[in-house]
Amino acid sequence: MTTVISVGAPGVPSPVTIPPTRRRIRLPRSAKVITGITLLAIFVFLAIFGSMLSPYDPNAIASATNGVPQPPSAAHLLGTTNIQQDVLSQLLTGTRPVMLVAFLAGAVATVLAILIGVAAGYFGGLVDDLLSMLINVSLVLPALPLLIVLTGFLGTSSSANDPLIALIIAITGWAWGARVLRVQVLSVRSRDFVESARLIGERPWRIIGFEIMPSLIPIIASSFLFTVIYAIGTYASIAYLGLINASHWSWGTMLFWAQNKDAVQSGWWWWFVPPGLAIALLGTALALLNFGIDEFINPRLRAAGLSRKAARGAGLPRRFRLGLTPVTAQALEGADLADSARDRAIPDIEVSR
Amino acid sequence: MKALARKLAFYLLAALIAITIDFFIPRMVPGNAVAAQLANLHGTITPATLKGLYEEFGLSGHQSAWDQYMHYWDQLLHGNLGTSTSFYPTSVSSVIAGGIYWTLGLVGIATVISFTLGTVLGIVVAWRRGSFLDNLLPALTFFQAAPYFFLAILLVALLGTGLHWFPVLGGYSITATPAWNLGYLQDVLDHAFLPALTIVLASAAGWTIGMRNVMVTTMDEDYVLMAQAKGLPKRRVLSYAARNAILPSVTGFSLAIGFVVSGALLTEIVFSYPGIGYLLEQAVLNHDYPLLQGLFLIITFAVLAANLIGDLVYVFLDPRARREA
Amino acid sequence: MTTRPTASTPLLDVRGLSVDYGVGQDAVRAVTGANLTLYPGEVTGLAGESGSGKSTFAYAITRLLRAPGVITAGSVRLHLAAGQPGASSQPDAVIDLLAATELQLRQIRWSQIAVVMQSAMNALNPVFRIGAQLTDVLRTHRPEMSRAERHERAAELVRMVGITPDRLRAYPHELSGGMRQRAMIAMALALEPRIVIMDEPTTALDVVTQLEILEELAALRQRLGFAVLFITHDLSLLLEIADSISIMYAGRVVEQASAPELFRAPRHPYTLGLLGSFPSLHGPRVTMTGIGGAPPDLRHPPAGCPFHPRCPYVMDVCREQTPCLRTPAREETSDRLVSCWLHDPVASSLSLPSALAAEPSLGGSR
Repeated sequence: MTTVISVGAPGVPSPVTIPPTRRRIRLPRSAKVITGITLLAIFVFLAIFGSMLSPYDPNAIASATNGVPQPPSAAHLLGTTNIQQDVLSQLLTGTRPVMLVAFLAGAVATVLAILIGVAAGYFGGLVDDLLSMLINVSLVLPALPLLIVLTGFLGTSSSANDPLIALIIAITGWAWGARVLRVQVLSVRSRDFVESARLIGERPWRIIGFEIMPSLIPIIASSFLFTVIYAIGTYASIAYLGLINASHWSWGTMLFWAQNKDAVQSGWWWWFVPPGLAIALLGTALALLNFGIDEFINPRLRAAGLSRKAARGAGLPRRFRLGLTPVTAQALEGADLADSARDRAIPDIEVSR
Repeated sequence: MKALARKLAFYLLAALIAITIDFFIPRMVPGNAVAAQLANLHGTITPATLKGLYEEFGLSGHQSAWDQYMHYWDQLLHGNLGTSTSFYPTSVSSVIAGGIYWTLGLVGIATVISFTLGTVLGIVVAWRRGSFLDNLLPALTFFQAAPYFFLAILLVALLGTGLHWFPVLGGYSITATPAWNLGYLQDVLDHAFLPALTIVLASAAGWTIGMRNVMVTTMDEDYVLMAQAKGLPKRRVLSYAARNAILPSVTGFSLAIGFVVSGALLTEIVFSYPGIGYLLEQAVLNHDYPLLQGLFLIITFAVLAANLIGDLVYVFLDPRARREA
Repeated sequence: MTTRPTASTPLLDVRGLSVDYGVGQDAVRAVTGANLTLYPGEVTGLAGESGSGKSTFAYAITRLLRAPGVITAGSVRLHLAAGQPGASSQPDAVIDLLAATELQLRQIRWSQIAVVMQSAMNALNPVFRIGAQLTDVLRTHRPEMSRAERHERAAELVRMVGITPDRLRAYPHELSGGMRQRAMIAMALALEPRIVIMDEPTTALDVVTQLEILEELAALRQRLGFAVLFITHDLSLLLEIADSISIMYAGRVVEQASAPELFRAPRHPYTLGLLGSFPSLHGPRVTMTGIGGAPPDLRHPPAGCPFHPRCPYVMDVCREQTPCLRTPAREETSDRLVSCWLHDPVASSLSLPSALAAEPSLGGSR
């Protein structure tokens, strides 16, 4: 899974200059961001109240079972699994572990990224060399095999321990953010206002905290969201592979069981589509939010000042073409009226030559 | 030159660390790895076999940890990755060799297609900014956020079992005999289509969005405006921008390769495609530690190699990176 | 006065140009009703503070203004000599750049009007060699040239600005700041345009390099005879090199005169303030006076004359009505223009403050 973080192809934002003053944060009002926030809010709500809302106990097996999952019906809105467990309940209950693990992993990874990335960027020299090495090695070692190994280390008994899993996911996912932050700190550090703070003799932590941090906040937010997306997918993946205790409900586990019982081959779509779709939708919500932050960090990504509606209203071509500054129809009409420059009926000019 | 040496040194170090982590895999399992192996073998274990197993792991009791480590290195440098327990008595190297070509073929080709497609699409979406193409972006976001294996499952359900357009299992039909003829090749392509499509769909979206963002920023640069000011034809102006925008894209490619490989492996698992991913799943389910060790090593080395190639391509493309005093 | 024959045709005639950023309610008017006339072979200076709209104006003229810029009024008439690209077969064709098609613009660009941007490091493509960036213009506009001819021409161009031809194979980051700027100038002259627009070309350079480049520019002008639109905030520089100067404030042209006239006999209070803002190397020591206050926020411009909050000679009418750009009341026969109520025959019956009533000295030498 690749990322949508700001400029630069998957996960490689380029350093962007952000003015040092504290600006009033004006939330972008694009449709993308609003959709993202709404979706996210729904999921958060489900995470908190999911298990209370589920009509059945996800583990409950109906009295009579013929080993065949039942399609959606009035009693079971999303149908049942092969042992007659309610899919909807599993979905709702499974929301909380996913959100917990994902956001916890994101938080831990982001903290790690800040500590290591900012230190590397600010202190430079040997510290930077060592930390950069650490960052790059962590980046280059592929995550999934490493995860498989680490979770294997846990053993299935303790693998129902969500915080521990979150920690392991964080260990494989912090390097991205660290690299981005390091680059940004490097570019900000050479700016004048930081130099002057240093010359005055401000303590490093104050400089970092007050001068450098403000420009890092959008990047940290974006990096956090990206890591959460990564964590969601990864958590689902390792659950799907059966590396986590299969009786601990999460969306990934549902997919594990579905795969195990050949749900795909047998066409029992109500078993595997809902959890997968949930993963994808939550990821999409976060990615849309990330888009919004990207546009905030990098104003060039925003719609180039002229929305299509406004442009049409003024009689301008809808799409802005570089090197072809639009001219309003009024301007052109006005120009045609005049015979020669002298006869222009423009009030500001009276040239008595 | 010095920069090149530094890069090589870095990759060697990373390889070293990977090998060391690999060394610890069976030693990290709670309990005795050998005992776990024994459980898998269910058969009469001769003392010779037992002794052999102990030596495989370098776990003969009287050796120190360091000696075991050296022994491990010794084995590696001789190309000996041990014996697989789930495919006993085949050696790990042969098992991996059996699967690696499938993976290289599938993942290699799919990634190249995906990167090319994503880059070109990203350039087009950026160039035609403000047109209806911008509406593609939310859809692409969805594909990017969806995990590989879910897309795989969806494709299986829709195009495989649903419409029966493509087979959903394996690398080739059970009835087919591997041979270099057209019939067999067609069969292989048939089976490779859905897994490849999954990989392309899942990763191309990411490349597209990334490339689009870089292009949009690059198009705002003064030198692109200069190209317009010079009255150059549109195609030339585009190349002024794209030639620069591609640089961060290549960097991103190097970095994202690890993720793409992870996703591809998962895809193979869903489709039971006989590649490295399938072997990985087998190794995990059967607690086949020698195989797991070998696979981890191979996967890591492949990703490191891809990264190195990406770095070299970048240096080739960016004249500023070439001079490193 | 300059020795310009009164009947000479202007090269570029900009009338009443207005530029907005954005459309509708949120639009900000960056340039209002600005005029400019360029004559063949002359250096016209465009001076103003940051935010005065001078760069916006210059880029809008050639339709190179970035989004969200929109041109909302005016005309930009380029006089084409017969046989020039973009002209039809009739002699002395005039084309309005604002109404031109994309094809026409592409033909005219660089062959008639070239641009030298402010920062050479940003304006040069970092992944292409300097030589390639010189020859691609030739390939586009002079398709009849062979590869060897193009290379020869590129070598000739860089030699003209004092760079050895072997540097053609270099990348922009391998050249020094001064050399990059020189390369930009060489690039601009590739097709021997009749107008070169220079946007603060020497601002980022040290004074020594600045002088070298300006001297080279003068020599090139002598040789090739192109007109220059020189944009800068450094009025003292313009006084040295420009034939005529236009002063911009808050998106309007507030004064326009020949350089010696402007220096010796400013008419607009803002010009007076600018002239008092830098010391002269000769003459008695004078206390420097700046201009109090700050430039207006273009989103909420003041009513009436945009300069009135800072003007030491402000009258009631200034606060209510915007003055027009016209010849000063007491100098009907001169060529200069000023936008100030003090010089309006109707509005101002008072006598002028002495500072604004100086006599321009006779004779044209500087």
